[in-house]
Amino acid sequence: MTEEAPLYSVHNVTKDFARGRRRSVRPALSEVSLVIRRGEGFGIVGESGSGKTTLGRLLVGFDTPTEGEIVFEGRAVVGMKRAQRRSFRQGVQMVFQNPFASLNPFRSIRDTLSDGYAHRRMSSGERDTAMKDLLGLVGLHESMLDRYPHEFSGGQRQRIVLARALSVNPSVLVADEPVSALDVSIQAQVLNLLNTLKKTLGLTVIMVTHDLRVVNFFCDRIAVMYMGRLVEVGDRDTIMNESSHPYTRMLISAAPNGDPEERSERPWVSSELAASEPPAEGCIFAPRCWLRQQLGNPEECVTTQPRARPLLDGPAPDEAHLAACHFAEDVPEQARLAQVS
Amino acid sequence: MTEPLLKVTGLTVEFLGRHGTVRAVDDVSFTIGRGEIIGLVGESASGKSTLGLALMRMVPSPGRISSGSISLEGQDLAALSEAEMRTVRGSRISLIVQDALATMNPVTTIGEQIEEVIRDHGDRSSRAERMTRAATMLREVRLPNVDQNLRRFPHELSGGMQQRVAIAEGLVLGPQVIIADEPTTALDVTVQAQILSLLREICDTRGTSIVFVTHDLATVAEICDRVMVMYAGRIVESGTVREVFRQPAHPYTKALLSGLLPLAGEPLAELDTLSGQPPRPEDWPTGCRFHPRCPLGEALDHPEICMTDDPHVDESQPHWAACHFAELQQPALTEEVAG
Repeated sequence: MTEEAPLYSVHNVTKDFARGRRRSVRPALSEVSLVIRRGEGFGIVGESGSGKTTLGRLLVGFDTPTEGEIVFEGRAVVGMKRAQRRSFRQGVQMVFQNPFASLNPFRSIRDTLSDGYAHRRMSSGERDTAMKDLLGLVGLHESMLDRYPHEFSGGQRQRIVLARALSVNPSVLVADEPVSALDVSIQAQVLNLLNTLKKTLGLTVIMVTHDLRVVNFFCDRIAVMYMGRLVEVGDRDTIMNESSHPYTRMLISAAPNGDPEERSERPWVSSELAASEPPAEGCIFAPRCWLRQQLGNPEECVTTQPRARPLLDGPAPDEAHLAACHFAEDVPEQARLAQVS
Repeated sequence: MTEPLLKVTGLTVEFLGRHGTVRAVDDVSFTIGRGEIIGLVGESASGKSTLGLALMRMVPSPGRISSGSISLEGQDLAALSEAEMRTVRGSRISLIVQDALATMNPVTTIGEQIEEVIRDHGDRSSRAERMTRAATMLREVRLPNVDQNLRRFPHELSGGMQQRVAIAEGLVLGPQVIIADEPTTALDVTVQAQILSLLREICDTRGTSIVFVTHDLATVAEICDRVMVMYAGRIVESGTVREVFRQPAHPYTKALLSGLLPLAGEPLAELDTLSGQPPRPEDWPTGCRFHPRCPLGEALDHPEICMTDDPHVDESQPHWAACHFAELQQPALTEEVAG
């Protein structure tokens, strides 16, 4: 594969919402670095408090990093000139979890969608055609243009929200839990639609979610977050099937596998109660880490916070697969041992 | 077989609305044995939560149980007066809900919440004794640092700890049946895993039965013995979890199962979808209520009988499905597995 410049590169980003005397509170996001490539489905997964939503908001430009830098198409997101910022805001659109809260109940679908065309030189006829095409694209009938949000179901509303996001021809869609609020039978429809849009329009879709099944279906690459830090990032297959971080292993094994014949054994899942706040020093995951225990509590884990780094497996370091663990190379082997015992 | 612990027969819940009466739960029958966990699965508006509340006799007004019986060890709960029901509720059948925090009194400590439950059900022992009982219960659900946490307020605990307290509260009077309505939906997966194994353990050690109400088939596969699938106010399929997962007989169950995305392995290229959306109680379709969305009906070129007749079911069978063509569904599936 040829190396082209990434769409996004996130350099050492920290976001601290705390002010004044609450300064001691852990930052929402700490020292995160990663790249997102053009046209990929990029998943950001984590549990509550992991910083996944904060990272998503920074990528859209809703918030600015306290430290570090986010570069989009070669330009830093903070400090863009007016015209650049405008094209950035147009190019990156966001879809939220709750389709009931993200549409104005007093505005018809036509009103909502026409905002996207407000600053374009178009006759009203052209705009009409464009809006009808847009509805067709997300699988709704053009006759629905003059209806109001309350006339639609959750799945249909999420389609409208998607249509609104697409009305300005974005190149990136950041979707925060786009299907979590939907019924199971409707989730599949919206996921298929997102997949089709990604392929036909060449969209980059960044999906922020807690749902491992959804990222496994949708994403090409996955970043795993824990307590504001990036713990691992890599190809879908690597993360889901051959992860090199003990937290990722724990997270995946905690999800019910959906097979009554093989109820999951969970040798790795430790209580969250052990670590409501991360330790001041050392690895944030250390208090819950099965690998640390298995390796006989190495000193490093409680003295140094590991950085997400390329793995030293094979002939050259794998730049596409980063893990923040001192003993990442040992994870696959140790995981096999843990499962046997 | 011995007499089941709980036997529900023809239970119907009606809501009186502006447009007449709607049946949220329509003629539902099932049984639960001692120590059994039975999953009640459905999408929004399927009636699963209403059914759960009906078992507690807690259907909110203007809803009411219009017919049917709920027999707990031979005593019909549906026929009890409200005063009689109050002595049963909590002590013989109790409820655990999704939002544990909302069920607690925000200005009462954890210990007092539970102590209050014991007191209000006629325990005349001293307050100190009741507190000890509360602490023992909290240890059983593995709340850490019980002595300190007894004196804390609900908002000071994490979500997982709150859910443990709610479970302790539901268990403290030693009920035979627990209705658990989405008890782990709001929790992170690593916390969910622990709560699920706690519930399983409680059933095994205490012989408590659980009606586990959820939309999530993965958790059903994880802890339930049997499963009932609800659609449009009715149970459309019932059987052991193993059988239903291996050989779903109702096209709706099959669709739900295919919506359960795999966690590992190669991802699917495209997901099978159901057209349309779940119907609302005010306009249940005629005949089989699933027929407007049914992929099997479509494959069979929309048989007349699906639109006109309710599928007849033999509820005495261990595994049954309310579908006119259930037999067609199963061989097809076996072939798929074989191929």
